This record gives sequence, C-alpha cells and structure tokens, in this order.
Amino acid sequence: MNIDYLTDLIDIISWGIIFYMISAGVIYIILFLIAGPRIRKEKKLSRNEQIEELSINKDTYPISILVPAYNEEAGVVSTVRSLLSLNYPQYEVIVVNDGSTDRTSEKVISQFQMEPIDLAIRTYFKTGEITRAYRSALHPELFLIEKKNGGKADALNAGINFSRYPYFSAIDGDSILEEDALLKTMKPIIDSAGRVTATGGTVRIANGCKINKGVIERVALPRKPLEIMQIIEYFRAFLIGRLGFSRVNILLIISGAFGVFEKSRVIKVGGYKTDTVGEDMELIVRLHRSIKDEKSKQRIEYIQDPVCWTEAPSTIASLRAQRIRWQRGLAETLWTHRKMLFNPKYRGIGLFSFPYYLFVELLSAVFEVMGYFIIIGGLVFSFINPDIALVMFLVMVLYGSLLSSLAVLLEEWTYHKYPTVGSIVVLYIYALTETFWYRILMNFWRVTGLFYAFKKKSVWGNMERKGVFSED
Amino acid sequence: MLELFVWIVVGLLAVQLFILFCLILWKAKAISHENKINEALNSLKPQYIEYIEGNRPAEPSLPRGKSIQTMVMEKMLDEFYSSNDGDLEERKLNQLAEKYLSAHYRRTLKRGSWAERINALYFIEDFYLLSLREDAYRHFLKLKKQDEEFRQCLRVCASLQEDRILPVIVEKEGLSTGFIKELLFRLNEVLMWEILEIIEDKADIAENVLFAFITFNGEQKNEPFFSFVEKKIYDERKEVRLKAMNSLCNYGKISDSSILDPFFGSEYWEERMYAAKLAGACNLPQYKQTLLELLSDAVWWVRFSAAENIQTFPDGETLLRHVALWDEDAYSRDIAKHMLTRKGGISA
Repeated sequence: MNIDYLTDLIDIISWGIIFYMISAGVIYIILFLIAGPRIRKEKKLSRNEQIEELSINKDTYPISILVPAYNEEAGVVSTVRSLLSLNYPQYEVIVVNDGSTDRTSEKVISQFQMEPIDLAIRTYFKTGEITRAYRSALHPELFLIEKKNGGKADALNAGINFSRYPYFSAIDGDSILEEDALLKTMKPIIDSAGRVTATGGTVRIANGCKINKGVIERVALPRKPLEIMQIIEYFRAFLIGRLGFSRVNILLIISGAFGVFEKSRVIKVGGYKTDTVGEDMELIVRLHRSIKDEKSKQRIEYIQDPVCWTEAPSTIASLRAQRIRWQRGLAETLWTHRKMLFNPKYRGIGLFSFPYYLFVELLSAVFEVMGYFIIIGGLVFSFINPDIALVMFLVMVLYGSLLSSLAVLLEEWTYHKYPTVGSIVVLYIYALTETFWYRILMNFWRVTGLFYAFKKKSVWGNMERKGVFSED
Repeated sequence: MLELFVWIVVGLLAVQLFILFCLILWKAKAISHENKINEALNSLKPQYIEYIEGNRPAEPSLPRGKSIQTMVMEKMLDEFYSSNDGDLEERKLNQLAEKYLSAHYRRTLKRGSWAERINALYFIEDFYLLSLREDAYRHFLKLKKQDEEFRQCLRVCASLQEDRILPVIVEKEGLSTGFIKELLFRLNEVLMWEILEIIEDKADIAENVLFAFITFNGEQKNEPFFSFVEKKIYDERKEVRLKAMNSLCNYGKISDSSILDPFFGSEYWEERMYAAKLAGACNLPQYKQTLLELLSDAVWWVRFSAAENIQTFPDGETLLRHVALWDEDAYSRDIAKHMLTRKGGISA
C-alpha cells in the first residue's frame, strides 16, 4: 500500500516537473517572439553609420570607465589597452585595484608609466581605504587607485567616488570592449536625452579568438567543449532572454562584465551593495525600484550588438566557482527585494520579471535535479512508469538542447560573428548535446549555489585566468 | 502521450535541421558574394583613385549586374569619403554617387525595409545627394514615429539645406537639445539667421530650442550670433543665463568684463561656478583674487572650478601651491592640492 502511495506521489511530482519545464520552455519561446521582431527589424541596419555622428558630437556625454580588478595580472594590461583605444570623444579610465595579492598594480604601473598623485576625492559612498593613486604619464586620462580589499562592489563604489564624469561604465578586468562599444551603448542614452538611465550590451566569449594588443582580430571557436558550451549559453541568455525583457522595460540584469550607468541615479540609490556577490543584478533591481517609486519615466535598456568580449572559465573548478557565485548572487538579490515579488506596484518587474527569475532562473535547477533522480532512480528501482520517465527525458531535451540549438540558429541569422560554415555546425552539434552533460553539471552547481546563498560573505570570483588577453 | 512527445521532439529537430541546412547554404553564398565584392573592390579602388585624380581618362568598368555595381560603388565611395583628407575631389565623388546610387536610394526610400531605408538615408547624407532633396523631404512627411528613421531623415533634410524643415526644428515637440544642435550644425548661415528670426519672433519658444541655439553657437564660436548669446546672460530664466555663460566660455570672450561682477556673488552656485569658468576662459587676470576667494566656497564644484581656472593663468600653479601650503581654510588647501596633482583636461 505504502509503495503505491509512493509511486503515485512520484508520478504526480514527475508530471509537475514535466508541466513546469514545458511552461518554462514556453516562456522562453514567448521571450523569443517578443525579441524576434526587433532583431529582424534591425538586422540589416548599418551600426557604424549610426554612430559616426556620436564620435564627433560634443553632446556625447563624457564617461568614466571603471575597471575593478582583483588578481587580474594576466589580463589587466590588455583590458586597459583596449579601453585606451576606444572610439569615444571624452572619457577617463580608472583601474581600481582591490587589494590584489598578485602583480596587478605593478603591471599597470610599469606598462603605462603611472605616477603617484595626491587626491581630494568626493565621497559619495564609504569604501575600503584608498591607499594610493596614480596617473599615467603616457595617457593623462588613465588612473589607477589602490585600495584595501573590500570586494568587487566596494571597488566599484571607490571608482564612482573618484570618477568625474556624469556617466560611468563598469567593465570587468578580464574583458575587452570593441572599439565602438561605448558609442553604441551610449546611443540609447543620447537619443533619449537621458530618459534611458542605464544600458548594457551583449557580452561574448573571447576564448578561441585571436587577440592582438587588446583587439579581437579574428573571431573563432575555442577547442575545449566546456568553453564552446558557454558560448552557446551566452547566445541563449542574451539573444533570447535579455532582449525580450528589455523590450518591455523589465530587464533585471546588465552584465557585470559591461554596462553604462547614469552616475547621479546610482548615487541616489546608494551605489553598489557590498554584502552580496550579485552586485550587478542587485543594482539594476534597486534602480528599477527607485524609478518605479518615483514614478519616473526613465528606462533601462539592453542593446543587442555584441560589444564586449570576456574570458570564460576554462576549467571545471573555475566554472563551478563562477556558477555557484552567480546562483548565490541571484538568490540574495531576490531575497533582498522579495517585497517586489507579485507586487503590482512594480508592474512588469514585480508581476513577471521577479517570478521569472525566481521560478525559472533560480529554481529550475532544483526541478531538473529532482527530474534526474526520478528518471534514474525510477528506472533502476522500477517505481516510475518508464513512459513517464521517457516523457520527462524528452521534455528535458526540448528545454535544454533544442532551445540552445535555436539560439545558435538565431545568432547565425542575426550577427553571424563566426566567419566559417564549420563553426555553425560545430556550435549546433554541441548545443544538441547540452542536456546530456553540460546542463547536468550546471544544475548540480546551481543547486550547490542555492545552499551557499545562506552563508553570506563578500568575495571576488576566484577564477583561474589563463589570460586569453595576455600580452606576455 | 509518449508518442506525441517523441513526435514533437523529432519534429522540432527536423525543422531545426532544415533551418540549419538553409543557413549553411545562405552563409556559404554570403561568404562567396562577399569575397567577390572584396575582390572587385581591391582591383577597382586604385583604378578609381586614378580616375578621380584625373590621371585616367576613362572611367574603369564595374562588374556586370546592377546589384553588385551598387554594392561595390557604395562600399568604395564610403571608404573614399571617410578617409578623404581633401586628396580626392569631392565633386567627382559626388558625381559617381549620383550616377550609380541615387536611383537605388530613391527606390529604397519607397520600397525598402526600415533598416534599408535608414541605411539609404545615411548614405544620402554622406554622399551629399542633392538630387534626392525632394524625395527625402517627402519621405519625412510620411514619417509618424519619432525614431531613428525620423531623426536621420531630418538630418538629411538639414544637410541638403531644405528650408521647409525649419519650423519643424523650432516647433516640433519631443526633439532633444542635442538633436536640435545636430541639425543646426548642418544648416548654412542663411538658414541659421532664419532660425534666429523665428526664435526672436516667438515669445513662447521652447527652452530646449533656445538652449540648443545658444550652446551650438558657442561651441562653433559663431561670430555672427555672439551678441545674441551674450545678451542672454541677462535673461530672467536661470537656466538660460547658465547656458549663455557656458556658451561664452566656449567663445572665450565677453564684450565687457564687468558684466561678470554680479555673478561671483550670485545666490546660485552654478552662476558662481560659471563666473569662475568665464574668468579663466576669457583670460581675465583681474579676477584672480576673486577666484582665490572662491576656493573656500561652500560648494565643491565652485571650488573645483575656481582652482581649475586659477591654473590657467601663467602664475596659476604658484598661486595654488601657495594656497595648498599656507591657506588657513582646509577646503582651499584641499582643492588646491587636488588640482596640482590631478592635471586632467578642463572638466565638462
């Protein structure tokens, strides 16, 4: 009798999981349908012609680029070099060394002839003590500040304190920007005369690309399956997810790797939160909250152009650490702002974004892991109907592999950044394998991340850099 | 049920494989087409340079086929225009654009997709295709949404000196100050005077139009409109006064320095800040002492501006060093020290 109950219970759970995954898949398709018309509309648009004017326009707001760096000796010089060659009328680059224990500062100091300066800094936020500041003798617009370790958010806040322009951009020390990235990302802000308060661009993975002195010379695929899968994952997140959210002004994430923000609004909401590992998402949620609380008409936008290239983790250990950190960050942000969940005051954010991030982005891993146990355990111990197990498996293939392969097709249809026919085929085939190994790994790490969310501590990601951007 | 799911998965996979197959074919074709265009470009570019420079009597022959001719010419002229430092005769470039591209752009404006129409508008402007002035204006009249197409079409009309858009620039709601400046930048002096006339005749002129006109003239140091800008520092609206002061900073001159006196003691910190900026921009050493006093102003921006502009005088560094070492006021010492060590450009 008890066994029957157990079997019935597992059947119900199984159908629940199947229903859940179909619903999540349908949401993805809806997001794709929302994003599709815009991608199609702008597909043939000449982006370079569009920004020609901005590069000489005196109304293109000056911008401070903040590069928080913790143990980034492998890539920081290339990052800075790529930033110094950006096509933008007026900007400054501020590298914030957050108490690195490696040679991050030495590399910047020797490469760019940094000289010590004495400063009077406006203090918008309290941050870890700034121990020293430098300015480059070669590039007057390049600064390096050294501070006591306080985490990435603290480093960004210190950078905001130091910056002098009305907009700032946050970029990771392991990322490089395309030459016109800032112009493209600032365009919505300029066109809207300030109505857009923050923008983010598409981030791509640089592993495998040929990079010379901070410039992507040839786009190519990496060799490691782990890296290729991350490329596909980024396609899926950026092309299907974010654009759809941005279209209806309910985007909750601007990637920490690259975003542009109106400084006054960020100061108004109190800067980056230092006691979370998901400071990028948390800030965006707070910005949305303040916009809605003020009944302001400002927006947060995402531009679909691939403008930022970042180094993806290439080892199991570093990828695991990154995913655990992301999941913790997501959980912490959703918990901090839980009052927004299903709150009609926050309209689309409260009624759609928040539930989406909670039930799809945060909890999907839990459902999928339960599904794995049910499929394997059920078949081994015969407490589940094999038909149900097979249906669940097929749904997983639909939700994992087929959606990802759709993203690969979408990328090729829109940007076709990868120059050979072979690369589309490789990406497509890898996408089809996602359900069988990559997604399983991700889901276990994401569940681990959920457990870790209960232990709070402000840390930097301890990603092992192999230095795709390294010049050595 | 199981069968249904199997069919869904197999069906979707089959559809995707079909799309993949199409994309592969399309990509292979696109790569070969691009190679063809690049090859044509590489061989034709030097020949066309010779032709444009007058060292070759006959025009080089383009590959057969209208579509490839248009693409090659568009790419080549775009490269010529963007890298032309006056070596290539603009008249000849324009003739080539008119000959090979104007009919294509006319058709695109009528029948192209949104992105194609915008691209066409960009090139009409870049290549200065005067023959399309009427087409651009007619196209503008059809546009209802204030999006990129609307803005680019207005830019094209302004570049081609279409005077029928002047009332649009001045009266259309929703145009930003920055965008109006972009349009003013394209107008010739005759049309600028017409704009000024409309501004002066219209008592309820939108502030952003006025701001744009004042700021733009300062940035361009437009002498004919200097007196209009200077007059505006007496405007009753604070924002207009500030814009005028900012604009005068760009002109780097004022007709009578004493007009600044009341602004140093203004109740508004922005006016004190701009007064400091003007003293530096117009090189008025008689205000050095006043600037030194402003180093202890209650507002950081005023202190910063005063220090920044003291530095513009030949003995500025010495003065700041003295303040940094000996001044009794901590604010003054702090800002002087800051300015001496951080030698950035003039801040925005």
